[in-house]
Amino acid sequence: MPETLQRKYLPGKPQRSFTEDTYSLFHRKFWEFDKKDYLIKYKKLTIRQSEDFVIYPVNKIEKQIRGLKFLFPFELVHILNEIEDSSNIIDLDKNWDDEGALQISFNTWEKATLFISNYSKWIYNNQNIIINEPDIAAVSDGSIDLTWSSEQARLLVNIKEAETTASYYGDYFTENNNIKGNIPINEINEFFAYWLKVFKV
Amino acid sequence: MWPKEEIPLQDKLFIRVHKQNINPKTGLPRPAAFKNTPTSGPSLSSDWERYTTPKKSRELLGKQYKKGTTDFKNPLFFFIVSVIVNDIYNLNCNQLIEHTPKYQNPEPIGNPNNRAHSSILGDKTDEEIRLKFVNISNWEINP
Repeated sequence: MPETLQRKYLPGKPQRSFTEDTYSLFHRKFWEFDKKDYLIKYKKLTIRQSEDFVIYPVNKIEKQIRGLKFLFPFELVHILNEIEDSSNIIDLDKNWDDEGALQISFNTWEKATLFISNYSKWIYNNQNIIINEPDIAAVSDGSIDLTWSSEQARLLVNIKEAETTASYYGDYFTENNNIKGNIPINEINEFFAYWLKVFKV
Repeated sequence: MWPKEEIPLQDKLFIRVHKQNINPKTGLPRPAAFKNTPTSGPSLSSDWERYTTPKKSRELLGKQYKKGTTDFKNPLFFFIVSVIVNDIYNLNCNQLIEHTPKYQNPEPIGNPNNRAHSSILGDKTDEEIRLKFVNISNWEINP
């Protein structure tokens, strides 16, 4: 952990009361360091306590899956697990459904995992919300479906090998307030992220 | 040769679901189960309840070749859901249902005759229709 962060946020004596702002600032700072490739493997940060100041531990988990490196806050480990479980879809043989299904390429799977990873982390980082993992499934045309569902809403995102955008449809099981369209896979669309929050844990 | 008939709105169609197209967590068919078969084709195959049962519909799969091979499908890899014709039309997703019985004499090996065969015509690449199909389907033979 960088020294500046330790000095600033792990004080030896009480400096200020713990507030939600402090907590989110701590998280935000930590994420800035992430972007500079400070990878922390299963490392627990020290919990320091004083009379009125508590710093919560922040855990991160890093895992290599099929040669790709994933780094997630521990709170999103269920997303990481789903990504790992889904990796077997790239092992499916051609004609895996006996109806002529195409193989799922590594590139398509990589794009799908990037999409899930980006959105789940962004929502956690910016909104402090943990979303559920999607069901990640092979489709017979060689694309990948990501499906979120809850009692209130449902959402299907499709990732195709040859496209840089993902197509989606979501609704609240009614004809009103549905969403449909295409979004870039490599960028965060804040409107879409806002909608994904429906699937919070 | 069997004549084409009008399928009543309240009747059920049976659709096969490959084991790979079942969500293991929810036990529901995945949206991927409702793509056209083959994917580039114009329709999703189904069987009309008037001339078959879920069990017979599944057993018939064992007489079909796997696509592009002369190996027979394993019926145990497939499960059966039903959808009511009217529920499909109520999706308002440009789908058309036709009774399309299959009959050839002599019956070709790997492509059996099927009086119940019906086609759910229309594009199913769209996420909306595939997602909505999940919620109008009901298991007849579940995993």
